[in-house]
Amino acid sequence: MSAVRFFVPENRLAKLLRVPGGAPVAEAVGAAEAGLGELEGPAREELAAALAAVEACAGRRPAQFEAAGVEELYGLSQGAIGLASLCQRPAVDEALRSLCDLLDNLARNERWDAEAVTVHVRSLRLLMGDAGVKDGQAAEVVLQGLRRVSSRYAGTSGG
Amino acid sequence: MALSATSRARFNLSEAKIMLLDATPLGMQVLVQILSGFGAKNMVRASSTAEARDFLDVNQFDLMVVDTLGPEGQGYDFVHWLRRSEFKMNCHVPVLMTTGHTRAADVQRARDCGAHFIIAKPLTPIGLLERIIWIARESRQFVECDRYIGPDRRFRDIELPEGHPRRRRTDQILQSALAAAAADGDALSKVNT
Repeated sequence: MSAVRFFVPENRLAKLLRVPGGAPVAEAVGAAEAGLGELEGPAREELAAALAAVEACAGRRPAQFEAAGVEELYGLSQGAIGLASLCQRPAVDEALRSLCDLLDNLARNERWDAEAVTVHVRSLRLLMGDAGVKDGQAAEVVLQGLRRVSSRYAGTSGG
Repeated sequence: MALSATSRARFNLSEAKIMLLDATPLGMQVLVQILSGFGAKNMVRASSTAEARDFLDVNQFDLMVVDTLGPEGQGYDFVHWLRRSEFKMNCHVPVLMTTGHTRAADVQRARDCGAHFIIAKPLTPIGLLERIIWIARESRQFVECDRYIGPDRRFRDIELPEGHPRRRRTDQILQSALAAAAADGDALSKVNT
């Protein structure tokens, strides 16, 4: 067994946080949320472009497993997570997370399921509110369905 | 760790020097908006690990917020490298990592890179502040061994089995067992569960 060293480094952050002045938590969180609100417009534009890229990439996939294509789609989906919550569409972030789980599972098992991917991609538009499903119980039903689909390949291997 | 968003407790980030590493402009703006709201005034922005490394030469940071940087997870590699680096004024700095999604194959990489926390996006102000304050309060000890350098990943004090009263000798044995576990990542994960 190799040597293990335990030590406590200087915690400068702790000292600085205690410096007199600063702001109450409530005020700081409010200011941060207001700052994030300013990003809604740019986030909406970026999300629209990201979802279009996800749709286009998914549409280009061949019928069989192709590692590079799955990787590209995973990268696009992962990169878009977080944008939708800035636009008050948290369910879209959840759907993207489920799509990433699905793609990760498929890549690990070197399998492809066009229907499972398609249902995720179509749900993204649905959850954006284009058809009136953007939050609440209806969105939760959609998300539960997506999670069931993405978990289908969680334990499989090969083939 | 819960922190109420309506708390009147005060904290001061105005003098903290913070490095932000995020490759996307909007991702960077999210970090800047949140931390500016918290009163941070001294933020250094890096859009790549190469840029971040350059900043380490000339700055002493009090906090870093590092994105995992896409599917390849270069952010994990950066933190792993930082903990082993010769930048003595920065190698033990508190690091919060942000990620959109962590692949199953990257879970161990995330655990072992040496970050204090990994936060899933979307980021919320209260979630980020909770972790900043937790890091500052806890002053976690660091563990340094062949396979891991970073904050001690054990969050709970492991109780002794029933019928074994806590004694100094017993505690020493437990400490030795924990040290051995720290040298073995797999064993450590079992201790944590």
